Amino acid sequence: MTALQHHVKTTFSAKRSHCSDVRALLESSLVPLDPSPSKDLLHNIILATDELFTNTVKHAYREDASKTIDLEIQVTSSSIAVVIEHTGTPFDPSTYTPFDPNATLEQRRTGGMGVFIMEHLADQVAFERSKSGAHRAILHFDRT
Amino acid sequence: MAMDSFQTTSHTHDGVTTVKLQGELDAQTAVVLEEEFEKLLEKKKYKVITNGQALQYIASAGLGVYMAYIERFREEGGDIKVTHLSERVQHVFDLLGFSKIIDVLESDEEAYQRFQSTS
Repeated sequence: MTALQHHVKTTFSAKRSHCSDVRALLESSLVPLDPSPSKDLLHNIILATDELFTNTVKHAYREDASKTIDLEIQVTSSSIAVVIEHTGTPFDPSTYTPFDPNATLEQRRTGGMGVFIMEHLADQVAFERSKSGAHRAILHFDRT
Repeated sequence: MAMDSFQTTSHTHDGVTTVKLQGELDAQTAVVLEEEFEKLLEKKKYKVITNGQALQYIASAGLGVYMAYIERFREEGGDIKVTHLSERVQHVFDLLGFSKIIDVLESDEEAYQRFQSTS
């Protein structure tokens, strides 16, 4: 296993208003890295994580602000991973209808855009269950 | 991305309303744009240019607002056009295929001319 170069772990209450705090945390944690991620990579990480955090607030916790979301940033020499952990309703890929960016306006549905963004901007997206029984989503980005 | 708020300012000239978007448009702030579009529908201002020169960031929730409202403006003979997007914001429009269903233009003048030529 590659050694962690940088590690941040924090907890947010499940509120949409924390989206901007999540973005600020990513920026302040990742910009000082040496080498610093490119602006495109940084934006991809920020946008994909924002979408994951928003989906967790909306779907896993149905906007219940008394719940909490753990966010972890794991940096190695070759990758940056963002882990979001919650105890709400897990994302079920088998019941998810993928978003189609080629659909006409009439055919479009609002759901699915967040997952589409995550899948396109991250190099790997994983959903799993932690040992404690919590649900984890992991966004994995290559640094090169 | 220090700014965590989002605001709009609008003015109407010759029947075309330009809405300047400023800040970060995300799941928390999308309601501000929704309210702006609702106000314009109430005032029967159906020809709208949203200028993104000061729009620093957009998440899918922001694009969801366009999707929810654009047909209502078009049904009234108007439209919502988008101008002056930064490369980064434009990339999100392109990624989600919104550039195919919304007029994304370089300048307000171009958007204004399109409204004049279709009225």
